[in-house]
Amino acid sequence: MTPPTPRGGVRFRTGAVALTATVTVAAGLAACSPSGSQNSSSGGSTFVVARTGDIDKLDPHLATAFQTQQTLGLVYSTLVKTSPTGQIQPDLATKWTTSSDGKTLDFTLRSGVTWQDGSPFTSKDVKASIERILDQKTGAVSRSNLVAIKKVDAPDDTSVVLHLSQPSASLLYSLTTVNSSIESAKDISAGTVGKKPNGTGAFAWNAWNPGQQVVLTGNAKYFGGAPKIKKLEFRVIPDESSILSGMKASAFQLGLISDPGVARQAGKADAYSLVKQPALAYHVLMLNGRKGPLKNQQVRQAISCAVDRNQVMQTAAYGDGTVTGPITSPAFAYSPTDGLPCTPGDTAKAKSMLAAAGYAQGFSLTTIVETGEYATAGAEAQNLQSQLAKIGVKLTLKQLSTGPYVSAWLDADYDAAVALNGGSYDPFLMYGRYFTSGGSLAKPAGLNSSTLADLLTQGNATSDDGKRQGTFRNLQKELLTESPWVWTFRSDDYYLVGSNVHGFTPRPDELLSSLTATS
Amino acid sequence: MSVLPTVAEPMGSVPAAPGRSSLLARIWRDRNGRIGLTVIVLLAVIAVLGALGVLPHDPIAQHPAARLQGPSSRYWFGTDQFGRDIAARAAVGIWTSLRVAVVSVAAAAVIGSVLGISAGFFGGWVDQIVSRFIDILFAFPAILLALAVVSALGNGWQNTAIAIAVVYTPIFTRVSRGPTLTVGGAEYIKAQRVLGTPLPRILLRHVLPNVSAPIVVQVTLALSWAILTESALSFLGLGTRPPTPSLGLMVSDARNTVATAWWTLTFPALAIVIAVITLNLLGDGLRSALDPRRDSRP
Amino acid sequence: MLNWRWLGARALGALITLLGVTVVVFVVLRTIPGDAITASLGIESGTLTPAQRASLEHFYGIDRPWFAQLWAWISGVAHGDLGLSLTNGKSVTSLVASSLPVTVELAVLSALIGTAFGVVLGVLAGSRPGRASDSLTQGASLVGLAIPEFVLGTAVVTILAEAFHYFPDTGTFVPLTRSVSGNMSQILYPSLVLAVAFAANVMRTTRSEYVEMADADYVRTARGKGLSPGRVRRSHILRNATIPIVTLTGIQFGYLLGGTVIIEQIFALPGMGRLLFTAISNRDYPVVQGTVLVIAVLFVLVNLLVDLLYRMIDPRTRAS
Repeated sequence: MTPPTPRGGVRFRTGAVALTATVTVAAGLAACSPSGSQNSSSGGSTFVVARTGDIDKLDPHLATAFQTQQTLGLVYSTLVKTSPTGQIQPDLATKWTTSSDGKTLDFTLRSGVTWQDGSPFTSKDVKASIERILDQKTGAVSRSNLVAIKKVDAPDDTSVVLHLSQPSASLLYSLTTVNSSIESAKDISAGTVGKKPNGTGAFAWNAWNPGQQVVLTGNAKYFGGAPKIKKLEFRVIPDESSILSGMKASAFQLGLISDPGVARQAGKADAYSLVKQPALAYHVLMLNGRKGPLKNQQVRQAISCAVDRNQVMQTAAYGDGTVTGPITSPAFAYSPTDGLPCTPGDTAKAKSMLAAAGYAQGFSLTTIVETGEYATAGAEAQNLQSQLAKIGVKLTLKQLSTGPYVSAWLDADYDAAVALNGGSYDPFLMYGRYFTSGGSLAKPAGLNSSTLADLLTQGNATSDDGKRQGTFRNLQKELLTESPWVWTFRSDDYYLVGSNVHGFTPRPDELLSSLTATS
Repeated sequence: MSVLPTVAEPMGSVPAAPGRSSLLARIWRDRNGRIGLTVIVLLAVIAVLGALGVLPHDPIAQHPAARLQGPSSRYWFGTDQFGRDIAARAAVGIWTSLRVAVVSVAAAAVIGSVLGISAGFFGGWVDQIVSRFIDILFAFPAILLALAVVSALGNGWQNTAIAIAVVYTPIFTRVSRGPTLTVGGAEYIKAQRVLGTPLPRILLRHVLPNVSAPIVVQVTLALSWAILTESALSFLGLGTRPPTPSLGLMVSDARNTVATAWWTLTFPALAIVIAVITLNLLGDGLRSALDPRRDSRP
Repeated sequence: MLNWRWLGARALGALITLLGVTVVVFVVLRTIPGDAITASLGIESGTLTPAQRASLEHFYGIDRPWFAQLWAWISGVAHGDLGLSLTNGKSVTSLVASSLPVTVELAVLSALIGTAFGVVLGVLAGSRPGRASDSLTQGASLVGLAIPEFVLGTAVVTILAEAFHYFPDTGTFVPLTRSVSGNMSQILYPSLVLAVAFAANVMRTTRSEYVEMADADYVRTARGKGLSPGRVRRSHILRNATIPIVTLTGIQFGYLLGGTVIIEQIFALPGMGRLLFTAISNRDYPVVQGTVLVIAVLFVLVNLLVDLLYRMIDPRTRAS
């Protein structure tokens, strides 16, 4: 039962896509050498990307909508970026060093870079951008992730020094997001940011026809090498079935799909190939551990134990995806169930756990479900409802459209919430805001745990990979033991790639950086 | 929204009071009415069977091992992505869809007719206020009304019904106001008022019977649009609350599985088409049954 | 010919209606949970400090009481200014101006196609009631009424793509004045889909009117006087059946103006329905208000036009 997905509007992921996100900006050729194919699909004409939603603003510091990040990520660059597997790589900064106490970060910037308006890029732009993000008045999305920065220095044109109040390993990851894009100091002081994008990325701003299309042009002066696509158009096709039909008729070069039902219909065709890419975002049943029976850890565990994750994925997403635990970054891959006192799906065990906790008769949970944002929400909810009914836990589904859902979610006005939360390459960025004291989303997290908070802080305080691996492994285990939520699966994103398109590779963070090297 | 509601033709000038032979018998005399009546009874029986849960399968129980199976002797209409029996779901879906349709149209008919009759009978400022109010509702895009109702109250069949009722109320007002104007001006009504017959008595005894025919015909048509509107709202994510099946929800969900599992869409869509056609045929039958000129015809 | 007092009264009524619609939209929008901030930031709005939230509310102009907002908006409209979109900063006037032609053309074209087919088929069926052609046409019209629009729309798109590798053009809207073929490649198929239910309704009305009229005394008289069947059909029957058909077309057309959202979604047409739907989800108040007002104006105009047509077709209605 996939609820209909008329995404006329902006699509953002509940949960976090945006902020925590992951993200890189326009990848350089340094990252991956293109396939070297000479057959340009577009042959100088327009390369059309079809997707269901439009961008909503032009200021990367304020961008939460997924389409906006995808688009502005091609126009702007960041200091550093991530590889598809989550390694930090150079972008506008070519080198960086961390002081031994972890409280000073020293960046060496690329020289000879120019803004798309022609003026030269210098350290003043970096300083102005970071200060703009930190300024409360901006309302910048990544501010909460960068608050550790006390002061920004720009000793000369090609160096920038960040002084931190405390060591933070996640800071570099935060700097890779579109929300930490470097804007031009000139634009910032003139107040023209958000009017007409002016970046240092592979594509330059051309035109925006709200609700219909965004047009970018290849930036011949891009420091990573001029992209082969000369003209890139993002076109809004609200209905995913129509995107599929358009691909069949070769009306678009690239089609972005998220509904597994539509992807299943895509099958095989001459005009395109279907590429599946597991995303960092995760599907989850969030429990409100501050309410009724859910205050009891054993009850939460019983619920977690009753859910066969694979069945949720099979029924809601036709089996596309990966069963996952809390941490979704490929760099921190641990067992999705280690920490649970059972094998998930073991109804008998779950039932006895519930009885031991004094709830043999079961109880009801008001469960909020979002409609219209992502295709699988209703189906997941119905399968979870059916599975939990077997142990006497009755989910009463309350379907809400985005506005009311978000309001209820933020106020933790629910017993349980079916959600698709954004992931990140960095575990602290994923869960710091939920489970550290004073975290901005501590309320919907539904649980306070000093153990979780300590593990998160510890993991973030060091950049030593060995220590981070150990700490985050414990974090995942502790999250499963506490069972504040029931993590189910990471879904696949679907890309319909036109058969004459070469060099496009999708990424787990859903950015389209590889368009830089696509032809 | 997809549905184009239309105001049924006002019939004649002032329809005569219902004749001696029973309404059902009169509908039965019309070919379309006969078909409509038969099928609607059949659908109602199926719906009640579904609602009572006496069908071989539970419409909500999931059987993950039997997902997306084609029609067979075990699952007559096949199964959906959760392994639920589509035949059972379609039966309950008819129940849900008819319930939404009946409740919404009943509400719209009662409220709309009261407004329309008041406006037509009392005239003056009552008419002015009602007419303006109805104009506003008419000019208001139905989609916005539905979105507003569902956003404010959440999903669920009652709220879908409220949204549809709001959209169709002005139609009933318009349909009942015209005939009331004519009746209200008739000599015998004027005489009744002069004689001091209590107002409720005049309205119930003399006005209502004379304006009921167009309203009744409108009801059957409105029922069929309500079924379509429910499916359109489901397409926009504003329909019934799962796992309760409704025909609209089943069709809009199956839109994406039709190429790989045709049965998921075909049967519920067929049920919608049959229900809508049936109600239209019944409307034809009613219209001819209530037509005052009918008896004079060959 | 024209009765100016009548027209004046109608205009005043229309003005009151529009004012009412404006107020209702305003109140309705502000009762729906969520605002522009939650719509644009989603759960990130939870990370805002109270100071940040206050400054955003001021930025979006939603910090003032609703009647103050209403007054500001109405006085803006009086000066021809519909305000700025909260999501993309474009002027509402320009957004509406670019989407209005799409929806109007869609509605006009489907009304034309629907009326043409509906009248022809209705006459065909009505002139030989009870015959096979009548049953067939009636059956087809019932099916046309009964298929949900989104099913028909999706089916058309899918079949065109699968069988003919064709997909209606979804690029920038091409006005009819610039290129007829370019315009048709965008508008034709969606109009055909919308025309199906339209034609079915018109057909049914035409048929029943036709059957009824054919029995009427004056038509029998005309036949008795020896007029040819074709002449009777043209001059008597059809002429008298025009009023109900015009009424029906007017009403359906009015509904189409506000009811094209599903077809616009499926065919990715940048019309008013989509503009409105998106704006509602984004809680983009000025765009919703502006779009609804324009749809209401069109609706009122269409009604006025229908009434004028009545008065031209049937002089008797002028009396009332």
